[in-house]
Amino acid sequence: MDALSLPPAQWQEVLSRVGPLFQDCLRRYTLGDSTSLPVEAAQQVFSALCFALRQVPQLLSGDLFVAYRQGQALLREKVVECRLSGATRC
Amino acid sequence: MEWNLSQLNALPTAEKQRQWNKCLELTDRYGLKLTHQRFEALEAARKQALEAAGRLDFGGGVLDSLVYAFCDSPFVEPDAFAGLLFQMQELFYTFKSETLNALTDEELISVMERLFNGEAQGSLDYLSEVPPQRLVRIALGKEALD
Repeated sequence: MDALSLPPAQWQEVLSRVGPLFQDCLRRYTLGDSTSLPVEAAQQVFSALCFALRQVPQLLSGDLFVAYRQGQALLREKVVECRLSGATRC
Repeated sequence: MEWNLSQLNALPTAEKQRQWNKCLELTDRYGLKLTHQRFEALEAARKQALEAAGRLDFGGGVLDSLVYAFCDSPFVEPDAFAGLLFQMQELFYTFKSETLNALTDEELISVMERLFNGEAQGSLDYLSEVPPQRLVRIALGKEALD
């Protein structure tokens, strides 16, 4: 079962654990220069975080920081694949 | 899948208490009247100020930075320090949004302090009227203050 197919109740469990990871993402987003940001920007960061987490199977059992890094790596891999396939077509 | 961004707990209570104690030590030294109860009220006001400015705090706020910046101001009356912090905190988040997040917390507080102790001569009304473009110019060193 991948993370995309988690039922809402299990997503709720993931989200209840996501606070420290989200704070870390926000800190990096502001480069550590600010302790606050517009709510819209925070929502975008949160959406990006969720998008990365959704790439990872077995989200419920592991460390979310590790899962996030795995999700990011998978997304980067997909981006590179897309670029390369685009380059081949040209 | 409901999750409210405002549920983000920025600082653990113990860390917050430690920060407040440090601030209280400092304000005591300057003879300024501040208490834990006042800090709690300032904390509640911070949430309102953030909401009014449409911002989310994730780092515990700037209350301690404001205390450090303004505790030695010649324009602060001992009894009025908490009131000043209430207004400064609100103004900070307003300025932060009006300057489109171009300034860091530290830069903005430094500009506010220099203006308040300088040409504003302790007037919050004056400070609140300073255009955001000017705050940025001062922070970036494009405009010198007397």
